[in-house]
Amino acid sequence: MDSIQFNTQIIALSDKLFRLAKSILRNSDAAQDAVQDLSLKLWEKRGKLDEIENIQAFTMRSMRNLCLDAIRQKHNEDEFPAELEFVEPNPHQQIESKDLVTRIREMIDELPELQRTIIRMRDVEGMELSEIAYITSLTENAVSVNLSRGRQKIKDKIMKEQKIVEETVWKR
Amino acid sequence: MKKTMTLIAVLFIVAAIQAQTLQSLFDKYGNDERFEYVSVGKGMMNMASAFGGMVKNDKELISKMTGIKILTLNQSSDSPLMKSVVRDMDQIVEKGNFETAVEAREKDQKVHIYYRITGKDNADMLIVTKEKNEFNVIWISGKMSKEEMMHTFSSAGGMINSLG
Amino acid sequence: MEKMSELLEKYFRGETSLAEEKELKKYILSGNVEPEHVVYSSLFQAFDQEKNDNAVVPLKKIVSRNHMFRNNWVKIVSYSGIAAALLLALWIQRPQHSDDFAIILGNKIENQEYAQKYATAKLTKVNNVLKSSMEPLQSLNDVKRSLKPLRTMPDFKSETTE
Repeated sequence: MDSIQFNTQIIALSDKLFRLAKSILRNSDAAQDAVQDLSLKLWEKRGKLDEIENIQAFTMRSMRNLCLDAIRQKHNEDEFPAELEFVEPNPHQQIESKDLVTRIREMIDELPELQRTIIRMRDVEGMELSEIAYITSLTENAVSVNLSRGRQKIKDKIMKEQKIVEETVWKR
Repeated sequence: MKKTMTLIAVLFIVAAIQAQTLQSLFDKYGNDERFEYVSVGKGMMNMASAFGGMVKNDKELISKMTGIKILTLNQSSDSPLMKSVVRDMDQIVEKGNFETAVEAREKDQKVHIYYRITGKDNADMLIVTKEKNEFNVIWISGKMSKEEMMHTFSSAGGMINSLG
Repeated sequence: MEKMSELLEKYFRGETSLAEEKELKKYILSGNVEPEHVVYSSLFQAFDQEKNDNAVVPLKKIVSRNHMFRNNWVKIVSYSGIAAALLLALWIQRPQHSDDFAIILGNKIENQEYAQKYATAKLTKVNNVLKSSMEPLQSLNDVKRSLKPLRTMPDFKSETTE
């Protein structure tokens, strides 16, 4: 695969890769770095890329694995793992200052990595279960279960916050 | 008769020089590998959806467009190259009898749309976008009258005003 | 609509197909929904918003000049997030129309589909800026005043062409 083909393919995917990295790492700058790291790594292996049928799935899977490795590495270095550092903010404070759409995006970020990754791959990127299964190294059934759990959690959170909003309105 | 001929000759020359200036901007920078230069001619009709927000319901209008050329530079706004191309662009707009149709802003992005009609129906529309590290010139050329071009912008303007 | 309530339940069970999800989304965002379904519009709007999350800061790109490189040395060039948003044809095809081409990093790509998609992406971005801008349309008759140079211009008198 020459540089033009490589660039056209990888660049075409870079926004999806960025969104995936951002979802896992929950940090835009880190996500940018991750995508660039991946591009470099893939470039070094470009000779083998011709053999791959589904470049998108392969790159997304590589992206996810790279991000998870980064988290694990940080976990080993830090006292507290990055995942646990994310503290759920006070719901009342949240609702007052932000609209529901923004809140929902935060709720998705608050989900465990696997669930939020799967929800985004399905509901944002519109991927088939088979592709998601390949990227996450799970069975389609397991993907379906995690998808359901994630969506259900979001639904519960939305309902909970709606209730708080209503109660607040009544108080006024 | 002689006067008319001279006048016509002048108009041709003016039109030629004006067109040349815009094209020469593209020629000057388009082959510079720091820029991206993309041209679409015959393939315009396939892009009808891209014009969606800007030219409402107007497949006919799109069919009157003869080409799109896009020049892009990704560099900091302080770089000498960026300053040079922006300056050249400003000169073209000023000298080339362009009128401003739209000015829009969103966060760090600015969009200016200029237009002009040369002769009876040689239309040029320029969309110039500026943001922190990127500069774009989109040049859409077409064969249409001033009224038709106005219609294009009233669609865009109407859309802007009807939102929000 | 009962069908939609059932579809929503199926959605939260993770059992809907992509086509069903598309139908559900269309219904929820249509504005014509049952009161108990209104709350979900923010959910689908959130997904749409996320879709527009693109890399804003220049992404570095791997290139090789003239397809040559020494000892795995690669030159890294800055590249824009906009270019990175393109969907491209995978293979470079035979030259089609001479006026459909792209010159990227000094490489000429004579591919109509690529050029169209590139142009489409740029115009879409302009659309988005126009849509979210609140600036009113300038008076079309007001020529001189409305011409605002983007940067300070050298002071010159326009030459008359003779």
